[in-house]
Amino acid sequence: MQTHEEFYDSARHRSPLIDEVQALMRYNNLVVQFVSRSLKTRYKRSTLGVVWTLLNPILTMLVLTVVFSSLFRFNIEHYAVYILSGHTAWLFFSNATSASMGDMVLSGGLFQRIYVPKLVFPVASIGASLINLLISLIPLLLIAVFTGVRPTPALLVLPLSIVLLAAFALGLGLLLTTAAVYFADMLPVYEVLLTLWMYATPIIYPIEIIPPNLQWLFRLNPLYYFVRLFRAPIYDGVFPEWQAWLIGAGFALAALVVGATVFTSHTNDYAYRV
Amino acid sequence: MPTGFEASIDPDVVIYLEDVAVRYRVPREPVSGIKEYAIRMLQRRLAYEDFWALKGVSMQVRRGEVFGVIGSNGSGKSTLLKVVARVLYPTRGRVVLRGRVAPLLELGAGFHQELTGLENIYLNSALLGRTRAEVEKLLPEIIDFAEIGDFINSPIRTYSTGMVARLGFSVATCVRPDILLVDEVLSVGDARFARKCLERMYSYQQQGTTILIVSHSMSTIETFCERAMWLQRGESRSIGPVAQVIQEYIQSSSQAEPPPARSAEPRGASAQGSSQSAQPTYHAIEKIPDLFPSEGIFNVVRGSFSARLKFPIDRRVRDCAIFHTDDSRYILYIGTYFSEEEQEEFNVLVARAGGNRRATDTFYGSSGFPEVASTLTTYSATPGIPLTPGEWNLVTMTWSGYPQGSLRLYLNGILVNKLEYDRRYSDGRSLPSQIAIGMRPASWEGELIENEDGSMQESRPSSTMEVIDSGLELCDLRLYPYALTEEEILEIYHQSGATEPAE
Repeated sequence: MQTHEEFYDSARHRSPLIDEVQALMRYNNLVVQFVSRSLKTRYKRSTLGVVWTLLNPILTMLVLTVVFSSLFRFNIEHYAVYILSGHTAWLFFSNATSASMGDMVLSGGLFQRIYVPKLVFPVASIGASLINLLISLIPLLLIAVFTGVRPTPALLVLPLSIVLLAAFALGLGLLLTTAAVYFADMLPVYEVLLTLWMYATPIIYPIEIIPPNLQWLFRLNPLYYFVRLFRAPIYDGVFPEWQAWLIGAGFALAALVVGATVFTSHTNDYAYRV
Repeated sequence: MPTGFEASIDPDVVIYLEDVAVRYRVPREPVSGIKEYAIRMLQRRLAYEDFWALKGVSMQVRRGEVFGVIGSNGSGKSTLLKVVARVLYPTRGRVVLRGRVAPLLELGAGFHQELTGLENIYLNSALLGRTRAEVEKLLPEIIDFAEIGDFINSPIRTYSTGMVARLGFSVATCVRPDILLVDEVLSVGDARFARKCLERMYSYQQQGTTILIVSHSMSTIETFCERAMWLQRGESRSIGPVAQVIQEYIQSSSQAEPPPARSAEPRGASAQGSSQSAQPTYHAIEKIPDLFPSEGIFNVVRGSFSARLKFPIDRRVRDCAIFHTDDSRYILYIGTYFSEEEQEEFNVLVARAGGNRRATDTFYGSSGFPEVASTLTTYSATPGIPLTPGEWNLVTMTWSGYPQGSLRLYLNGILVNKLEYDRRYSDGRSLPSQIAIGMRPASWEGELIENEDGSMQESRPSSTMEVIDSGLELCDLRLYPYALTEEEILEIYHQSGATEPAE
């Protein structure tokens, strides 16, 4: 195993972003381990196990469908699938970002004892949420077929939608995680904001019910585009329009660059803070 | 930044610290809320208390060296270890490390309670930066070394602490690292396993691994390290050969006690000459409630221990350790044995001193250990020395010039038994001549024994061998940094032999 000798010099500073990304790649096995740990421990002691991940969207759908279709009576065809397609994307986003914050703070005990590239934690949190998203797509697609929504070739773009949303969640997650390290009450504050954010996103209602002079405000919300990128192929059976792609990709890229830069520029400080 | 950094440091220096300082900022009042923080920011009232855990520490450790860091609690030892482990980034200064670092800090810290041993091996190995392929290759060896058998498929929460530590050690050290960081972990599981761990560490060291040990136990540092650093309040007070550093440390921490001045001078003839007998220098060990604790420089090469004992009237003494160094190489104890011939139980007074083995395998079989004994009946000691129960007797043990000298045991100034050292008692390791000790003349809780055939067993006395339980009384405990001559011993015996020493 005589490979080239590892060498560390605290005085040698390249870009912290490049250093951290390289370290992350070296520790890719740890990301895999963290993701599998999070999945395993989540299901280990519950008897239904992975069934919960499958069941959860169905139950959510039932609740939301019953509540909102009887309450608001939006005249939407296949309302269950309408809600669920948007809600699945939302659920991934909110889980991924809050898990990223929580996992980092909870892992303090670990990275105060042993060196670990800090990027591993948020990336693994997003990874675990991503697996849950993929699992929950199964019941979603089944429900779609079952309730009569016809699958179209547009479904083939779904992986790209997922990649963009994951990139956005990671970028924002990194930013929020940096904040969470410095401010203990960041997480509860963010959870309140998430509730607000969900209702500001056309998930359970169509954007058309918003007065036209206010719709621009709702279009400032990045999640509007990501929900659209999910809903178009699943619910509408069409390819999302190019504006949605462009704006979604723009948000994802910006969040990723800003988030990663801010997060990595503070990595040397985390062990002192958490 | 110049790129010649790597070349500018001696390639043999594996750990390089230059003026390393670490600052913790502790908010004067806890600020945890964003609102609070914002208000303070605006008011420019964000007051921090700066705490410098390290204040400009420099050191260089070479390949294959065992380097110790000693200091009291809060001296910055752990912070130093964290800097070398890359857990903390230095606030100031520079840290250079060559090669793979394996931290043995709080073994099993990365374990997850709900996961099985096997799953935790994968997880912990990944934490150490290993790839999955590497782990798969090492798996059988890791499981084998940890000795946890079928438990490997049970969740860690069902493990005993010893098992967790064993698995943690096994995972951390299954590949030879270039730098091994050790933080008081030499007590991994039972004594036998601890020895196995030490053997692995030594064999790695032979192959070029550098070991950095942080400990507040001087005997640990003394036993294992060649060089050491003494940290005090974040500053390096002394750095150099371990004996010298420990001596400086002890001298500063026990200013009040009579310094063992002799041991600092060149030892040997000058200390042994009869001209010195007028004013023997010794270290008096004072009694504190039921204990006789002592910290001082203990001379491994030549020295003496003397004490006055009073045997109880009309009963045998229960087993007890009268004098015992931390590493079990120097002991004076009273044991019990059953004589087949006489069909009776006797007490034995045993002195053990010398030997050149590491702390974990001092007692390597009864015949191999430098020990001398005297059988005690209620009224006499073996070569016809009368003992009167209820009166004070002087017991003295001396050891000189190891490996060429001898071990002697005296009762009331009369030589009871002696033993010339020979090569049997050495395993060829060179140990420092000075040993820092905390003597424990009160209790002895057991040790590791290596049998003649090389097998190991852990020996624990039936009791803790405490003097207070034994019926024996002790006073006037003295530790000399040189071997007393017979005249000197007699002189001590007569000094206060006439009058009963006051306690």
